Amino acid sequence: MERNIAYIALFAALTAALGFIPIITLGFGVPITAQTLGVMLSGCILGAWRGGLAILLLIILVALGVPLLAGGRGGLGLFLSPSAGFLIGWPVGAFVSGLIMERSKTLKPLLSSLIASIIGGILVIYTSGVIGMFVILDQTFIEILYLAMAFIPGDMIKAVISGMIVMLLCKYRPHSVISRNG
Amino acid sequence: MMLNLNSPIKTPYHGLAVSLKLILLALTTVYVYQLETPLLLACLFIITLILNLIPGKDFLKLAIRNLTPVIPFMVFILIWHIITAAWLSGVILLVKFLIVITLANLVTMTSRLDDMIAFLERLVQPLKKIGLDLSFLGLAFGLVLRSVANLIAIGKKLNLAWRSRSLKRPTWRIVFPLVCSALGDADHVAYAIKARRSNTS
Repeated sequence: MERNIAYIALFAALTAALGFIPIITLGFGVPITAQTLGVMLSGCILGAWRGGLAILLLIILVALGVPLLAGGRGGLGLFLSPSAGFLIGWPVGAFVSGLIMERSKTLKPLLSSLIASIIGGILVIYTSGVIGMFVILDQTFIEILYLAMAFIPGDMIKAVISGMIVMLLCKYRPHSVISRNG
Repeated sequence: MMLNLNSPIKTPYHGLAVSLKLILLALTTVYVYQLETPLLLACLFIITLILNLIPGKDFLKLAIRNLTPVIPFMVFILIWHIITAAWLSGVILLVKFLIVITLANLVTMTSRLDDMIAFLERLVQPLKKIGLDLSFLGLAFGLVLRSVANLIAIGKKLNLAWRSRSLKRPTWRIVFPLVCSALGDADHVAYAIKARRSNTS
């Protein structure tokens, strides 16, 4: 119980911290933050329930008014904006990433976490985000999908990074990758 | 890092119960999203501005500043509607967003974090009856708030360490030691909670 609380809280904090440290610099010099990398890592390392709860905890704190999202964003207003679907998709994305990691123990860690990050951290979050925009905005589903596609290359980079970090953890700190030990 | 978005300027809204403010916000949001009359929406927008102006000009400035994170997305939506020759529906949509987001920010700015957490704890209380004990929520919130600042500081140190050894910008490689640091902290925190619980029981 204590270990679960500590891991859930620390990964919520890690995901928040990743929003304040630019760790990826695009070719033309623009730094991008990596909170969705935190979503992928939470699921891949902690597993479905703990990973999903870590991100849910972060989302609750953001809703309560703590500015934990990149750029110091927070508050209820974010959940009423057109991009709210993406935010709501985060805990589900972490859960799905964790579920895939737990069910693919026979695969190599890099491959398993890459698949988990792409499906949970991109496919699930974008599905939720696009549905949210479709409900709120007065545009066709295809137009919204086309609009969201612009951000996928950056998220693919994050999925690869997530895969590599999980692979390194499996090699040097295997006991910490709860999703593969449970 | 600022720990919450609560306004330092005291307002009459601070005295209202969090539950009442959230219910009013929910009802207004549903109502505003159903409206299609530009004149009515304009009136509601002016009322929203007046609500933010009542505590003073400084509070209104703060409210406008809190809107800035969503402005680029709104401009984008407006341009998009203009391109697709639906500018009027774009403007209507934009005014709706401005009303509900400004009101939601007003609730955030005038509700103390402690009160919001207390409200949430009351809200999840009935779950205890179905065997879901969420009494650890308060502890988890505290842990996150304390750990974020610590992890950001570690991230900055890793950044500096990288820069001192390389002419290139720090890359994703600092994430691995940051994750290891979080995992190490989690183990220590788990032992500390366990020790504290066994001492108090």
